[in-house]
Amino acid sequence: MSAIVATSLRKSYGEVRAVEDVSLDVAEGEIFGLLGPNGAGKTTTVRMLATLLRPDAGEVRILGLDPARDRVAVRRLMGIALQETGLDDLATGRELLTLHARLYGLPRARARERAQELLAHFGLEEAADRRVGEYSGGMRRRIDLASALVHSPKVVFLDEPTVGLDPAARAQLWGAVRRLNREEGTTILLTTHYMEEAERLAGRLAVIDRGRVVMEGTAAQLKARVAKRVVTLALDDEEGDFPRVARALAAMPGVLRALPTPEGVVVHVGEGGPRADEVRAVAEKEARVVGATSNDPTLDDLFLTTGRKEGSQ
Amino acid sequence: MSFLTATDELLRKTLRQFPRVPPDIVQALAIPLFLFALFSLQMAAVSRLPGFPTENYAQFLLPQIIVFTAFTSANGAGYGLVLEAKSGYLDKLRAMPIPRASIVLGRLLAVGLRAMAQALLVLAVAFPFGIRVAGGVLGVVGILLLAACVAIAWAGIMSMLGLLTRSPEAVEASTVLFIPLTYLTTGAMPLALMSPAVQGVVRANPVTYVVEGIRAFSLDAGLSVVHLEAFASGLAMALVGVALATWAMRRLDTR
Repeated sequence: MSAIVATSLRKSYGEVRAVEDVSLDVAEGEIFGLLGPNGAGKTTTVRMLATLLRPDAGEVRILGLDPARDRVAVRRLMGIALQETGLDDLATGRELLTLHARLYGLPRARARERAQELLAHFGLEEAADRRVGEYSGGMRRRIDLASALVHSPKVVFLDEPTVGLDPAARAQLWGAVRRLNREEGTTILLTTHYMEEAERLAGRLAVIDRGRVVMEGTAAQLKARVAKRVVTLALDDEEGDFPRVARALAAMPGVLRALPTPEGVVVHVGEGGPRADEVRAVAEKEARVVGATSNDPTLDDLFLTTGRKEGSQ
Repeated sequence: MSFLTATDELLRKTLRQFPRVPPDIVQALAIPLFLFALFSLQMAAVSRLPGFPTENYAQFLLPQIIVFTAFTSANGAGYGLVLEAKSGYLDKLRAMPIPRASIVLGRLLAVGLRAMAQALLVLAVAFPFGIRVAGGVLGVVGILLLAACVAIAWAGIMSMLGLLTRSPEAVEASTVLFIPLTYLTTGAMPLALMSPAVQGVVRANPVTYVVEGIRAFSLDAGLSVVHLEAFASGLAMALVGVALATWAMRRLDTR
């Protein structure tokens, strides 16, 4: 059975079309990643799936239920941890979790027990009776995730769960997400603009750009669609007209695309295409090449092919 | 989750957190103390005007200061809600299977209870100035309940503005509207001493009836139609406040 189904979702804010056309089908027990640059429509999509926004058009089903009709039933089945880390800073960690457990209908004694379980599970026992406003960024993310899980939801939405975290805190949160999926079988839909995060956590991904799903598949499938190999050329800034160099390289047989960047040109080479030294030789006729590397494609390269890179919109 | 349980949990959460913001407590004590000291010293002679019902001007002014304190204690409600909306915490509550009205009512009832505590504090601060409540314990309870009605009404209106505008600046700017509501009443001057034009406005202001009720509790031992009018007006205002805030909260679900 599908846990999350979205069909042709659309949402505008006034004149701005935030989501143009998004369709997704996430199976039960899956970790699904929604990947895209800032402003691509990820958060709006998640808010529509999580009953916080009404789509202008399209349909949503959560475990077969229609949130437009069974809003309360859907809310019982899902947990959310949003980008803004919505926390009550004046509450202690224990108070926050106990209150949330109560609001999800747990009896008082069970709510206290559940709060204690989650504090222990997320390594927050020592900070349990401190106010959330005093927590570090990593602790805030963990209590946020814990608060989304008080009622053991079947589906969890995580919107940019690790933004602003240091690598150690990020790895800790990834571990928690994986455990949740493995041990409880929870379906997780997460949005991110971190390639590494998407690659490490999600079994399947959808790339969303300008409000549309532009690609979908496993990380390996998506990377294979980008190129066989990626040659990155660093060019001398003073001599180079990077778009002109890119046009010359794009004309080479076997080159899928050549994209000018602030540092030089990134060349996506297809199956049977030119080697790195051959690409470099052509580039040197146009500009001074100060470095050339050849790598397997990454999900970062996906953003380049969708026309926008993180932060460049 | 039932409406009553959710409201009760959110009410207790708000009450638990009031003392964690220290400036509120300082403000609650300092403002009435300042107003009593100022008016009883500066305007004592006003009570010698013909037709003035008491000799102690501070005693006459008590309802005005109770109502003023109730308004100021409720002013922060809209601002707090905007901050919760901006921080994303409100969304977390909205994503829960709880009635929208309980999110609003838990908070507004807490504001009402705090306004009652503050009104009691005002009565304590008023004591050294020779101000008494002629209605005794019943009178004190009546005054506290009327203060709660005003606070709930105002907190409801401010919450609605907070939810509609999502702008702390807009809510901050709107709080000044409580000044005409407080001062275009019989709080500082008997109706008979006002110009006819102002009398019309004062009579149309529902807060006037609450002011008159508080004054009746403080000056008379018995119960009269003035008390009834005060509770009718206070309860109606509180219901309107709750209804407006609930409407604005439900409206978020239709966006």
